[in-house]
Amino acid sequence: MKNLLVLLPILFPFIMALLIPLVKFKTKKKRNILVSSSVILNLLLIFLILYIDGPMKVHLFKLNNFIDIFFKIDKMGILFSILASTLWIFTTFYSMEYMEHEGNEKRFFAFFILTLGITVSIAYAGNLFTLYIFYELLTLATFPLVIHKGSKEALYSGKKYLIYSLGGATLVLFGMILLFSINNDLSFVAKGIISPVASENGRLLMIYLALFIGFGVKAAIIPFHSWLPAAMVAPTPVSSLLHAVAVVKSGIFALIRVSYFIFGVDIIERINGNLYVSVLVVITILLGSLLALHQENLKKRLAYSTVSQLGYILLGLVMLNENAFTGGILHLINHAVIKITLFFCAGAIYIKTGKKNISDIKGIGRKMPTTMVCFGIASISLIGIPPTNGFVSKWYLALGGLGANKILFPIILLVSALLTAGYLIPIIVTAFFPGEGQKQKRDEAPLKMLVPIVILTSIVVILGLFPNPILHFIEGIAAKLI
Amino acid sequence: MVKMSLLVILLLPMVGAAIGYIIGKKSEYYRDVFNVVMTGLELLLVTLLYKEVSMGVIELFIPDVMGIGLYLKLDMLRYVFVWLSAFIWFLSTMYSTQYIVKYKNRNRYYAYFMLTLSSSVGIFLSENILNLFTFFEIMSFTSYALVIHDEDEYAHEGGRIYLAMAIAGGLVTLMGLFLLYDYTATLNIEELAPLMTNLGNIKYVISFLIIFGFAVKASLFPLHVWLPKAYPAAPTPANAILSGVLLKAGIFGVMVTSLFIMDGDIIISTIILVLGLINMIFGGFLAIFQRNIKRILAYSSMSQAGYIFLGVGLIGLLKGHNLTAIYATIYHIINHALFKVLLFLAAGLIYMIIRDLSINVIKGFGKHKLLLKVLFLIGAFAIAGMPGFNGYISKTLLHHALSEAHHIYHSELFIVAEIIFNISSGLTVAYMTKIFIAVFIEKNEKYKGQYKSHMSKRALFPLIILSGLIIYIGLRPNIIINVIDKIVESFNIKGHLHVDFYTFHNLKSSFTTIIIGLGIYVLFIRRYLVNTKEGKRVYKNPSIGWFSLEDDFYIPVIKFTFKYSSKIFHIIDKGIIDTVKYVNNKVKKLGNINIGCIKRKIIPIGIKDIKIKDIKMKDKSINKDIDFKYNLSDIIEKLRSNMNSLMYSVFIFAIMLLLALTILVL
Repeated sequence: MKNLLVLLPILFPFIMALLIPLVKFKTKKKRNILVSSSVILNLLLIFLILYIDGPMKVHLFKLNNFIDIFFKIDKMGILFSILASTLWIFTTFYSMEYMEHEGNEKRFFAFFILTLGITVSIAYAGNLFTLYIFYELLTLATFPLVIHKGSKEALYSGKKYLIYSLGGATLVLFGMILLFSINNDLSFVAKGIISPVASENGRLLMIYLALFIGFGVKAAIIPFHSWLPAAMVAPTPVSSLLHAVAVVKSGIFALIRVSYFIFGVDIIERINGNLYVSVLVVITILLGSLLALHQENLKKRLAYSTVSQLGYILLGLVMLNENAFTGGILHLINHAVIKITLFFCAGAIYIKTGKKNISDIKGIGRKMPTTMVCFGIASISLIGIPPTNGFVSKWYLALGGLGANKILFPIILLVSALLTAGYLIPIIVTAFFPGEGQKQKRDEAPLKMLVPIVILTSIVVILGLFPNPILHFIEGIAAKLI
Repeated sequence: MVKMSLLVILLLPMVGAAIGYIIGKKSEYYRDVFNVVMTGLELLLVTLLYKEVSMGVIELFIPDVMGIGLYLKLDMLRYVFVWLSAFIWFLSTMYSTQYIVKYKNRNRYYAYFMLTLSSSVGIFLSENILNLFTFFEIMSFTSYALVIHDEDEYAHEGGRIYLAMAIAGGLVTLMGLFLLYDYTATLNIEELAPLMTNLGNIKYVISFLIIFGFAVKASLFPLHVWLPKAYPAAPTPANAILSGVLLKAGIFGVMVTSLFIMDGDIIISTIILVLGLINMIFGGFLAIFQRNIKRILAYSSMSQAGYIFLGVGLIGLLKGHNLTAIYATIYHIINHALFKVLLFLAAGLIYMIIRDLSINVIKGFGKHKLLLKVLFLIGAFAIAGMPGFNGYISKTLLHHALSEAHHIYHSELFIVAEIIFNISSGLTVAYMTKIFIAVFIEKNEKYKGQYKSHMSKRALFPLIILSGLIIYIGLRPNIIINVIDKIVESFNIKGHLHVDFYTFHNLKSSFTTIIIGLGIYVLFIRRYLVNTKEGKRVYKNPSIGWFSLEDDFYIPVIKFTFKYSSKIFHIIDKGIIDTVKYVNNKVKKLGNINIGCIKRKIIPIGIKDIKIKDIKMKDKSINKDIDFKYNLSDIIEKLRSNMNSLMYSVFIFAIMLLLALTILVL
């Protein structure tokens, strides 16, 4: 009975998602209250089950060893689900205001909450099959959010998103079947489930690469990244969530599960799987930053920046040592907070001025000082300049790189940081120091948008100044896995 | 209790920045007063700490900040830097209230001004090198806002290169820190030295990387390219702190790396010494060509930084005998801060009135302004090393250290160094003479002393204090010597310096350089850098078209790399889509190719008899009747319609199942 509590934070959003389209709200306010309270309640539910002792696992539906919907709670899942639910709350408040400009809010919020449920399910998935099912569902649930505008461009991008995601998922399925054929077990266990003697290297390598690339599509590994910039046609809250937690981080989370809970460090090292993928990762980091430099559209620039930053996280995962893993997970959190802030700022600018291009927002710092200060702090953090949280994760990533005896990795991180400065600093400079003739009145975004931005920015700084609690938590995970 | 005072002097300006910003929204006057009081309080606090510091080192460790904790330490060496910062900030703030009156965005200016003070103090207090780096980065960003205060194109150009180099340098330093931590597993400066000596050659890589970022701020050749662009663009009080303190922060970083972390390693010290020599002569040489006073002073800062680097190098090289070198280096750090700030502030006074700093425009401006003339002259004498002024003391000490090195090593390097030392001192005299004669001696009908009332008394006050100090130190050099005595203890050297400054020998070498300088002025500047048109002197700058490291080397190289790397990456980016499109097009083409499926009647007669032509003729005739031509797409279309039928799907499903099974079995 106690075990069934696990299902609470998973099922609750599903129920709410069904409820929202059915209920007829008299005012927008009532709907907003329902949506926000359900999101907050979900976070509380997660905390609730954290306080219950004992191993939490439940088989929802079991046909055989392969087809088995199984949920289990472990530290990694807790981390991811809390991150997602917390950021969901911010996004909810933000989108209440933002979506008034986009219309069709009811549909939006229904799928929005549904996506939360799916993300939490991914976090608590106890085996690869469950993860895969919800991973596919995630694509389907976010699809209506991406094409929210319904314009031709949106539909085209949505199609692209579907094709890439489903294509990746097919590879995952392929890998999963192969894996099951040699192992007969798909559940997640720390340090891996594959017995080191049983299988030959070539087969394992093939499976690893299939899974890595398959999940990597959502983690925007180059050359499978181009759905991500295209998906920028979505409304800002969607794109920020897609970037910060929901979609791309699910891809990364799945990769963590595959690498550390299915294969395990020893096996990957034996089959040299990390070597092959690290090439892709390095290209991803550099290319993402370089391409970001060429973008004029603010959101697209941020999108390419995400591609590069996801590369940082993956780099942390493929180096297979404790520091790197810590850095990677830390960056998963930090990047989520930073990127969501940046997107919120971009969205606030768009709502207030209708401008999307960087050259058009000259002097915006005078008009929206709070927003742009937050943007500036988040940018500095993304570059990785102390004392912000981006620096802390970069520090651990670099140490991990050196620990793996690959001096090239820290150098790549720093080159990419320089490029990051190259595409973010000019935005701040044109925003704040426009020169003569740019007298503008103060005109900030509404409070519902501004408050999440400010809180998130303060999280950026606080996590940079006092990273130890989270750091110790992650190090606890890392010690068990490596 | 005393420990917490470190935190107080670190945070006081930061809090001041915030409060000042809020006050400034209501009243500019009260904000100005508040800021002056704040910096004054800071100076007072730091001065009061002197007694404590002279008794012993103050340390403070706050765990958990930034993961590794905040480790502050105040010993006598750091104290000198901190006191200098507080002092110069106090004067510059006072000066700013007058100078910045005509500028916009004053509120922002003061906020960043105070934040920069806080971060500078942080740099000097940090015992953990990562803390130091953090404050250094904050300082780069906050001072950027000061550099581009004017927000015109010129300021932005200067600011861009300032920030770009600061960030790039910072990242290189960060790389060094990564390696440092990876090899030594500690970041506390004091613990590093014994660990580093046991490393192999990697320690040179590490220290080189770490020094890189600091050297950018200290404008060490060849990383000085931001200097001539950023200095003239920034407002004068910002120049004063850039040259007076921020430059010293860079030097402090280099000192920490080369002297403490590397324990004065010979190779690193030699490199610093050589680069310092290049800095001295290169900066001095370029300075004599410039026409903008601020740019002359900027290059002069570079040249003087070279003197300090020479001293830093000598401290390392003369291990065991480096007493004089330590005194000389620290003395020159103090002195340069004093006279360079004085000179910048004096130049700023002129700019406040004329809004121009080209000596062709402002020449003769100071002819009738006695006080300004005297103040400037004091600064000029000090920097030129005229006996009786503070510059003379430190230059004499440096000279002594240099000849000691020559005695010990008997290397040609030090003969060259001696020559360069004299020539650069001569160049210093030459460019100061150039400014002084142009601005204060030459006649100009435009300026007949009519601006006297524009000269703000409060703006002059900092200059008077500085000149007083300069002369006082020049006449009583021992007061600084006593302070440095305590620093020497931290270098683990027993001893006390006894130098008689005003001896014939010392005076002679000082006057030699002055004569060299005057010679350069008369024989070179007057001859080649001045055009006389209709009885008026016009200064020209032939060096403008010369090879510049920035425009002719760094930028083209970066542009080239960027262009081609992005081209390559673009191919990858579009690659997958292009390949898919390409394949798609080809498949479409393939589908449209006609597959002639020709049925013809079998002709029973021997084939040989019929010529090919005839067959073709026949084919045509047959084709007219029945068209059997297919194209691939049609076939696929047909196949698909077949597939829709149930039988086909079962069939295909079976095949797939078989495939899957074979894979599983394999």
